[in-house]
Amino acid sequence: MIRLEHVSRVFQDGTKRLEILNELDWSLETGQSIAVMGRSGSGKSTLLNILGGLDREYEGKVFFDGQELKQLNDRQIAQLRNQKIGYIFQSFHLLDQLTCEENVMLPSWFAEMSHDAALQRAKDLLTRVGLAHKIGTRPQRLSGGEKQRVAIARALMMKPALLLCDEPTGNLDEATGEEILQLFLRLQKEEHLTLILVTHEIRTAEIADQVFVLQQGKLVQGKLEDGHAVAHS
Amino acid sequence: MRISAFFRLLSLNIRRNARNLLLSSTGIVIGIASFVFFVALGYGVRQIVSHDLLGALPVNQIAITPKSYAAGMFRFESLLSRGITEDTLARFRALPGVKRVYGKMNLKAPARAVVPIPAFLQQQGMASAFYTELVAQGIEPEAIDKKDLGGLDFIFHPPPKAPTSQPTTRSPKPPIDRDVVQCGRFRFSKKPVPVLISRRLLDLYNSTLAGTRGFPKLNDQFVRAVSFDMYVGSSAFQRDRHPAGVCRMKCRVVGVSNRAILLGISLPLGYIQRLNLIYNDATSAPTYQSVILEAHQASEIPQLLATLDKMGFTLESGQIFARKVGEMVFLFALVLTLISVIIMVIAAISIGHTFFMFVYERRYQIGLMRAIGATKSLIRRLILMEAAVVGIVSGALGLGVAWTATHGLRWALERSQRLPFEAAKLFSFPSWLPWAALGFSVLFCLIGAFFPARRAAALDPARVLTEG
Ligand SMILES: Nc1ncnc2c1ncn2[C@@H]1O[C@H](COP(=O)(O)OP(=O)(O)O)[C@@H](O)[C@H]1O
Ligand SMILES: [Mg+2]
Repeated sequence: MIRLEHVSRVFQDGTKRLEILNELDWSLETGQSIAVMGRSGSGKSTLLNILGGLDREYEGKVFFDGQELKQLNDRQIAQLRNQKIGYIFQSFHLLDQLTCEENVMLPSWFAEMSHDAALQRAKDLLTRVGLAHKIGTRPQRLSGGEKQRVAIARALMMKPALLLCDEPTGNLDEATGEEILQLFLRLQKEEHLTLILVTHEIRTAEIADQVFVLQQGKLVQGKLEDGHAVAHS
Repeated sequence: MRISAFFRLLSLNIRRNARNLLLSSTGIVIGIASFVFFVALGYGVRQIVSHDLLGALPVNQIAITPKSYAAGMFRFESLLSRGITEDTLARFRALPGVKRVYGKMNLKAPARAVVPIPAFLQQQGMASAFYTELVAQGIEPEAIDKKDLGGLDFIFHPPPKAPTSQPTTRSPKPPIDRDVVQCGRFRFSKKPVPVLISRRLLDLYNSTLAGTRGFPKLNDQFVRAVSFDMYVGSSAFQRDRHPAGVCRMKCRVVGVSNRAILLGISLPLGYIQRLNLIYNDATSAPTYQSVILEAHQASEIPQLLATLDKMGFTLESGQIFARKVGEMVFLFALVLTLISVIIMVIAAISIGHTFFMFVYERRYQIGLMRAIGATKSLIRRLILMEAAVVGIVSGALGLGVAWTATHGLRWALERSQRLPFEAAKLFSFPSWLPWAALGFSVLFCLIGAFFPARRAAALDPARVLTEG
């Protein structure tokens, strides 16, 4: 599904060159769940942004279902993000002026989906994340866990193939985070998702099939040992 | 993207920022209001000055006289000047750029009018009729705008065919022409002579005399009902009867026109030509006092004036003044309009600031929309549409403010009753003005929002979404 060839990402911070990703080669099959771990500032979000087509300033090549992302124009990349990719952010990013239901439907507004079909799907998803009773509520009045559930429903709105989660439990307490992780596992099965979880928390990484560690700009296969992620040697 | 969804997003953003948007559009509202106010004032004043006060003509027309006539108030017919004859008119017609030529000819005979006074005014103590010396002028019927006639005819009514001196038919009785007036050696139709009076005269009356001492206001319709008798060859100042005798002609007012002579009446040229032949030496060629030249285009007028100057003709004095004043008023209005455009430019800058602020405040929302499928161009269009809506609303508000101001001023002026013209005419709204106002308002809002919209579209979603 996704293949990276010699992907590098360099930021210019004043006069300093920050080499965040360095000649990354990586590939990922459909249906897998992957945890990407690494210290804060190691470039996890940067990697996710590149995978999701939000950041196209990389060197090298990124293939999504055989298409190189840099080759796509503004409309095509927007369509790819709309149809194939779902995002979940640490800070939810719900729109306060919209109701929960409308927040979930938002991606359908950028596609040719009928209002009725979208409404149906949104209601279904909100029920499945356990928020059937909060459909008309506005996000300000929800708890953190509830907000993240709405965000998850929104990410799944257009039946994406890939779900990208950047620290999904980072703003939640332990118990709520656990609930959210269980929800991920269930939905991944139900929707046949490929899941990439970026995290620095062991408990989050535990639910993934495979663990990778991002260090010194390289992605290496890792395993969880004594509450630490360590690279395979 | 579905249109309905687009407008849902639009209305959300506008409602969220309604107060800020309204505040930042105050400048546009003021700019548009002053723009409308000054354009309407410029148009109104120009019309009053050129059409109503000075009887000026459309921009592609000029009224000219021989140079010796153009001595302002003290017109006298120079013996050297032969005046404008039919030959002169033909020469004018031949000039390049000239479309039409209309001569104006004064009646060169004394005349009086007896105007019956309506019964309701007699009841207020007025006499049954009033007598006045008349100045009559002939004008070609084609020179008169049909709008001024309200459906009535302003033409020379030809007399029915005169019985020939040698009858070809052997009819037993010659026909009796009941509908023919014999006057001198000419026969006239018995149909009333159509008469025009000056629009400016009517306005002067309405804005000064009317309302005082029970004089009623007169409108076109009322004036058109007036009939009176004209006695040509008769004057209160001349004891002796004119050798050609006195002709009585029934007259009927058919319209109110800017082309009509200010103090007097205007008749179709045919009547004046014939009457002048009766009351003057028939051997000398008839002369016109002035001529209206209509050019194909207004741009040809300066060239034409230069040629006419060499031929010994010049603009009528009123025309010179009207053109000067018209230009000055136009310039004045232009300067004020420019000032309102400057106000709008400044307002556009403030709109720009506001939108930069919105883009910054909404950066997460914009980043998120990009992440879930919005294109850059959609983001740009959303912001520009917001600006367009602000433009329409502030344009409408500006129009409202201008409307209130102009009507308030009109009302105040009407109450004061101290103007030599109708206050209602002070502001004139050309039909394009509301559209121009809305168009400008939208345009300046779009200009203001152009760079913010570009910045919003260029926003890096990766950066805003992962920060914090
Ligand atoms: N747009 C950017 N410009 C400059 N530096 C950046 C930019 N984005 C990220 N960085 C830097 O790259 C590094 C990696 O960032 P990030 O991928 O967010 O790390 P992580 O998500 O692993 O904590 C950080 O040091 C950050 O400051
Ligand atoms: Mg991060």
